[in-house]
Parts: sequence; C-alpha cells; structure tokens
Amino acid sequence: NIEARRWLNGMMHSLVQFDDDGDPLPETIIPLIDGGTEGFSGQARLILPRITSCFECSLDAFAPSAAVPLCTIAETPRIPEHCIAYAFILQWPKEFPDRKLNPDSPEDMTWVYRQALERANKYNIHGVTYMLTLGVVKNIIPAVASTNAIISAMCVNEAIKLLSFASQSLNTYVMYMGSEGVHSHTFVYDKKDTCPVCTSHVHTLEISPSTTLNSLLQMLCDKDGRFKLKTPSVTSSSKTLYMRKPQALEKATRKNLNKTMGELLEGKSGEELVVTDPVVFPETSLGLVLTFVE
Amino acid sequence: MATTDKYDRQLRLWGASGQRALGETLVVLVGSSACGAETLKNLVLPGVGSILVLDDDDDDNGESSSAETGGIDIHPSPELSPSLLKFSGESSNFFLPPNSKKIVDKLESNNDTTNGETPLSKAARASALLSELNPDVCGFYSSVPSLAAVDFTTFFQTLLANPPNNHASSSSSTKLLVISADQPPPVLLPLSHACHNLSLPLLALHSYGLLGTVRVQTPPPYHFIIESKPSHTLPDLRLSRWPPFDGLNDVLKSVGKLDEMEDSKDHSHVPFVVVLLQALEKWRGTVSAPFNPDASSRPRYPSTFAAKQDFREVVKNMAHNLNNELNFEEAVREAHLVWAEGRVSEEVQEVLDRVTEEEFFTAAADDGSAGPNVPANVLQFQLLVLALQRFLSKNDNYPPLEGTIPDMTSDTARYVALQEAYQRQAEMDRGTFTNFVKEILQQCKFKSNGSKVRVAMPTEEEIITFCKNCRHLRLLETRPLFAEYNLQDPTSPRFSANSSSRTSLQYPDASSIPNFDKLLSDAREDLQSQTYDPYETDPIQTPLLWWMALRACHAFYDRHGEYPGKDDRELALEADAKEVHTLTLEIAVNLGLASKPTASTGDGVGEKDGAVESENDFIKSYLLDEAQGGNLAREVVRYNEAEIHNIAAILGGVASQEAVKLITGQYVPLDDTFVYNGIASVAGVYRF
Repeated sequence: NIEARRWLNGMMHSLVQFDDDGDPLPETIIPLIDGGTEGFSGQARLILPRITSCFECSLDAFAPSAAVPLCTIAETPRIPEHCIAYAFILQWPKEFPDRKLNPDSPEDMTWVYRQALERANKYNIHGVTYMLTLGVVKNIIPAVASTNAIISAMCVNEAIKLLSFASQSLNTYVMYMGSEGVHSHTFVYDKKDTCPVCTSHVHTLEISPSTTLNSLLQMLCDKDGRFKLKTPSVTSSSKTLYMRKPQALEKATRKNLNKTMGELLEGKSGEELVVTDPVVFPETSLGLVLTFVE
Repeated sequence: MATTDKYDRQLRLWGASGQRALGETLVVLVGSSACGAETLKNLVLPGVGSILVLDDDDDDNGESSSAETGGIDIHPSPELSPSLLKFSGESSNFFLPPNSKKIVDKLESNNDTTNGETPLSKAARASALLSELNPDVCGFYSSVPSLAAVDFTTFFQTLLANPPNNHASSSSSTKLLVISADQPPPVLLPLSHACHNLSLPLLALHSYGLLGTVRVQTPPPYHFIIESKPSHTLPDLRLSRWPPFDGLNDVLKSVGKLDEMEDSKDHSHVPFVVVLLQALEKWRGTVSAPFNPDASSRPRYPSTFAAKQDFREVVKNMAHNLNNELNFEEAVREAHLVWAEGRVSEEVQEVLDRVTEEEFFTAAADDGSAGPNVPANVLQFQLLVLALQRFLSKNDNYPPLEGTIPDMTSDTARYVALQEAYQRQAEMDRGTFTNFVKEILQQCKFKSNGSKVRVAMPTEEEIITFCKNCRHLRLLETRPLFAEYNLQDPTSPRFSANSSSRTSLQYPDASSIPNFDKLLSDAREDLQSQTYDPYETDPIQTPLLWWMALRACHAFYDRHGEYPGKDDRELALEADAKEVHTLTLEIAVNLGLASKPTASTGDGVGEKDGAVESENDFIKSYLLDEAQGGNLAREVVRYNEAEIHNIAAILGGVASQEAVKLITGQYVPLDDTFVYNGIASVAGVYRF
C-alpha cells in the first residue's frame, strides 16, 4: 500500500550519506525498485535515492479515493453498492459496537451481505450479490496472473542488471496498459521541486493567526492536501509545539493543540517550523514557514 | 478467506462466460523453453481447460514417437517424482529440470534403487511441472524426434477431432490455441501455415538475450470482439434522440416542472437526465431565430459552440444554488450528452461493412469439402451483425438501447423509475432484434436448399451480451506470419525455388490471402509514422530498431543454420556482427524504410547495388550509421539467442494476456507484434 511505500522510500533516503562537498556517497545509495498492478495495467520504477525522483515525488499522481457521500448511503440509496456501504459503515457499528468488521471472515461478510440485500429489497434495488459485497467492503482490485508476471519480471530485470552490471538501467519509470491492445510508456519521472523527502525545499503556508495548532495538523494530514501526513509532530525554533512520542512529551504538549498559532508563535509571522512524521518518512523533516494573513 | 473461489480476482475482469471459454480451451505449446513455459504457467493458474506440450527429444531417451503408427502419440503428464524436483545450474528454465536420465545414472552409481525409472523427454518434464500448478487443468505432452518434420495440420486436426481432455463434456466444444516458443524458421513457418489453414489462433514468442518479441496471428477471416470493454464509454442515455422513447417520456411527465418545485430537497434530487431535458425545452423557448418544424420532425438541439454555451447557462440558471445542488452540477458536466450522437461509431461501422448477407448465406451452407470454410463461431457472430444491420435500418440508425444508467444524484424512487424505463426499452429493443435474428436464420435455411446450415439460434444470454455491447464491436485481422516473412527477406534461401534443401518450403502466394494488400500497405504506412515517434530519452533504444536486428538474426539463421555469435572469439563475433548489420539494412529496405539504388558500375559492364540510403532521419542516424547500427548488431550477436528467464517471464506475461483475450473474445488483442527491449525497459507494438 501507499503508506508502506512512503515509509520505505523515506528510510532509503535517510540512509544516504554525503561527502564534504555535499555529494552523496555512491556506496551508501541503495537502489529501490517498485512495481504495482491493477487489472490489465501496471507500472515499474527505479529509484536511486538522492539521484532520481523518489516515491514521494509522485504522490499527487494517485487518484483521490472516491467515497460515496454519507447522505446518499443513509437516505437516498440507488445502486447496490450504496446498500452494501450502508450495511458495513452504518449498521455494523450499531449492531456490533465492540468488534471491528473482519473482511476475511465469511460469517461477518455474510451478515453484511444479508443486511445489504434486505435494504436493497426495501428500496427496490437489484444487484446485491455476495461477490459485489466483498468487492465493495474490501475495495478489491481485480488481478490476473499475466500482468503480475510482466511487472514482477520487469522489476527482476532491473535488479539483475544492477547486480551484474550486464546492461544499463531503467530511466526511471515504465507504465504498462494491456486492456486495449498493449501500450507501454517509458520515461524519466522528474523530481518534484518541493518534494519533502528528496529535496530540502522549505514550504510556505499562509494561515490566519486564529487557526489552532490542531487545525494546522489536520491541514497537514488532509488526504487531498499538499503534504498528506499521518502522524506529524511540530517544533518551532524556540520550543516544541506538539510531539507524539514519547508519551510524556505528548501529554505535556497536548494542551497546545487548542491554542491558536498566533498565540504559540507570539504573533511572529514568517517563523520556520520543523515538521516530522516517522510513519510517513522516517529520519526526514519538513521545513514549514508560516505567514499570518487575515 | 471470505471466499473460497480461487478465481475471484480474475472473474471480476472476464466474468463467468470468460472463465467458461478458458475451461473449454486446449493450449498447445510447441517447444518447452522458458518463455513458452511462462506463458503456459500464466494460463494454467487461471484455469485453462488443458495443455499439451510438444517438443523434440533430448538425445536418446527412448521416448520418440513410433514411426510405425505414423502418428504422434499423446500422453498425459507424468506424475511428479523426486527426480523431477531436482535442479542444477545447467538450465535457465525454472520449469524444465535437467534431463532426469542423468539423475538416474547418478543415483544408480550410489546404489540407490530407482525402480528403473524411465527417463523423460523435455515435453514430459515441462508438462508435469506446469500441470502441478492447478489441479483443475489436464496436462498432456507429445515428444517427437524433430519439430521441423512434424505435419502440424494433421496433428491439430487429430486434436480437434479427438481432444485428449477427458473433462470435456462434448468434443465439439474444445477450442485450440497454439503457442510457439523460440522456434526457428523451419518450424515456425509451417506452424504458421497450419494454424492459418485450420483457423487456429497462434502466438509466436521469441526470447533473445535482453530482447524479446510476441507476434499475434489471428485465425482467418478475423478475430471478432463483442465485449471489447473499452475503459471510457459514454452512457447510452439517448438524450439527443427525438422523440425520447415512451418510457422516458412517462418519467418526464411524472416529474413536475423544476421551476415550480418549492421544496429544496426535492429540487436538488431530480436526476440530471430530467434536468437536461427540461432545460432543453426552456432553451428552445429562448432561441429567437426562425424555425418552423412540423410536429413530426426533429426540433432544435444546440449545435454551435455559442448555442451550447447558452444551453449550459440555461441549466445553471435553473438551479437554486449551484454549489449545493449536486444534481445541477452533474447536469452542467454532462450537458454534452444532449447533443452527443448516440448512433454507431466509425469503428463499429467498419465491422458492419465487413459482413454481407450474400456471403453469409453461402458460407453458412458451405460444409468445407471444397477447402477451408468460415469457422462456425464467426458465422454466429456474422448472424448477429446482420441482425444489427436490419435493426439499424428500421430504427433510424440507432442501435438497441444498452439499458443501464450511471449512478446520479437523485432520490431513490425517481432513480429507480428512470432505471426501469431504460431497462424496459432495452428489453423491447432486444425483442425486436431477436426477431431479426430469427428472420435471417429462416432465410438462411431456405437458401441452403436442404443442405445443413452451420449456424444456430443464439442463446438468450448471447443476444443480451451482444445488444449490450454492440456499440463497441471490434475486429482484428492480422496477416499470417508466413505470408510476410519472405517479403521482409526475399533473397532468403528458405523460399528459393532452386533450393533442394528439405527445409525450404513453398507457400501459397501472399496474394491468395484476401485483404493482404490493404493490410500490408496499412502496416507499412504505420511503420513509417512510428519512426517519427522514437523513444525520446534515448532513441537508439527504440524497440523498432531492435526488432530489425532480431529479424536479421533469423535471416542469418536461414543462411547458416544457426544463430550468430556461436563462435565467441573476437574476430568471429566481429564478422557475424558485420553480416547482421548488412542484413538489417536489407530488411530496412524491404520494409520500405530505406532504399538501395542500383548504380552503374562505371565500366559500362553493368549495374551494381549502391549503398543503402534513407530519407528518414531516424533510420539514417540509428540504423544506417555504422557506429549506432553496428552497436545494435554487436549486441544481438553477443546474446547468441541466450534465454534469460526474467525476459522470458515478461514475454510470457504479455503472450498469456493476449491468449486470454483471444480465448474469451473480450478486450482487444494487440496488433500484431510486441517488442520488448529489456536494456532500457522500453516496449512497442508494431506491424512489420
């Protein structure tokens, strides 16, 4: 999944060391080969930390997840997927408040299927099947042996060439689409100038001074936002604003969450904050300059 | 696991009908090298019906076919035994353990009793390991002394008449697909010919160092696709058709005027289909230019850029609050559906133009005694296409309604009502369509004058599938391999009429294949335009160039009986590379990418061929150029046709995917040669 890839990408980058001139030491660069498939399509890429673009550079390219609005699920279901969503999002927690739904359990999934079917019948909607239920709950991506064979073999090909010096390497990204004929596109995936992992770009953010620290952290975690973080911690040049670990520090800084940024930074606009997130990119930090606007 | 269906993930791509087609197929693999084994593995795992591996023997293991019976023996895959599970560093094929006879010798010398295990042929070993991957699949093998001597036509006819698959409910439902793995021209060309004559699909793979190719050869007359499943389609809402069908009209009447709706929840939950049609009425009222239709003719629809903008404004103004009313947002976004055509596309028209009633009636009554006839499954397809032609002519060129509608912001009741209206109209259209099918079948039987007609009434499921997908029908017709091979290299000894070698074969003239000239000129034109679209990052890595170098290696084989680079001493390699480069240039000339002007020798005696030249910059810089073009030749010579398993795996992946498309008749196969360059990981699809 994307989180695991981001973590690995960040980790590989943090292992690279530099010489006195600031150039990466080649023996500390560990190549990272990444591949993924979906139905008849797939892609493979080669990441050389500190040399080529990295995984974080391409984060924006992932399509945002299309969630069905809750009001449709609750009030105006129209298609079988809505009924299934109702069963596992709304009904399950009500019926089983202390147990999380186990999508791999046939008993749990059968319960969801039956509830969805009941709702569908009530609204005269057709098409709820057990197979569709699984697909919706588990967000199943169709998969076939052939595409997986192609992409995995492409990855192995790169690994063999790197290990044996038999030939040159992929530069740097290949896309493969096989549902209508076969289309393939190999190109250099450029570094993103503002990538928090492989560049030292300092980001700027304009906020109102009345924004609370908590709201700022939520902005940083927005799935469709610029940074897409998971567990950010923030320090300013003079103090720790919020630190998730260790526990003692978390307790001590928790009260800052409800304070406004204006208060925490004593009204000074243009302060540079340091943001870390060990879950998303270990050993790396992001520079964030806050400018106050009304 | 929430489901015990091991095919769950792939069923979501090709459905139960696709899975059924897979289960009815026998895949024949000629050759047991890695790329063939990989292709078969990717077909065994998803549950193909049965496999048969055909290869020649290792030196002497007593498995050769009996010359006495004159035929080729077909055996079920052997049971797995310990000797089959031993691997050594000799083979680069994961699915082909080393010759088990050697294992037997070794064990005997250790005083192990092996119960006199019979040594197994390559084909036997490969089929055993492949069959193990899926108990649903039946495995078979055949071993022959020499593949070049096999009469493929007879072999395949035997398989079709008596399929070895004991799971098949009836022999008539077994279909064949043939895969050729790393076969040199003496085997590949007769194989291509046999498959063409028997209308069997063929996939020819060749793994060559860090390069590889997969060639699709469709069975004549063409491979038809009903469920092409394009990734982007417009919904079939028929908003631009006048008058709207009855069911739709009824729904429109049941919804009140949007402008009179006071309840905002109601207003924001009117489906965009209704919004757009009401907006159309409004828009017509605003257009001031004179327009005098009579009651039956088509009223105004927005057709100019300005009119379309105006229409969108009308829609926006009907909203109470555009930001909060998703249904109006959708209406503005989908406004183009009001003027979108809705009739058949150009591609579907091409399919329609290929089928005529005359030819169909003749072909349906042709029992094949006078030579290869149109396969029965193609006749079934043509029957449906002819019914579609009749439907179109009686329905203002609109095809049967698809019947489903996309999800859209709406209250449940109105959405369901709309959905039902479209479903009912689709059902009615299908009924009309079915009557046309019956009509044509009747005529067919009548015109056959009592001879048996080889086409039957389609099932209801087949008619539903056809009607639902008729807006995306496609055809694929490739030239057969053997027909283009000598065009690429006419001076090859393989086609020399004077050659007495038993490996040189005469093939019917390419001109005997209908449509050949048009397919050829299309292919040549495409190839030209593809030279203007090379691999940007490093043009020398463009797969087109590497295919030509590989083709030169096959040409080298035709002349010397082996692939270049066998003698790895420096001078020998250089000589081979030089010859390969020269052959590459010849091939470029034969493909129309370069020319070789003849020049007078200057001494008045005669003419001699001048140096190859080209107006095409790409060909000039990367092929004709001694350094660059020479590099291509030197690289392929150093490979000496080595097979690297991961390259074989890539080719096997692509080939198996194309095989699934050909077997299930879903999705569109590639046309017609896939070339993989593993040096830079660049791929391309061409027709040569």
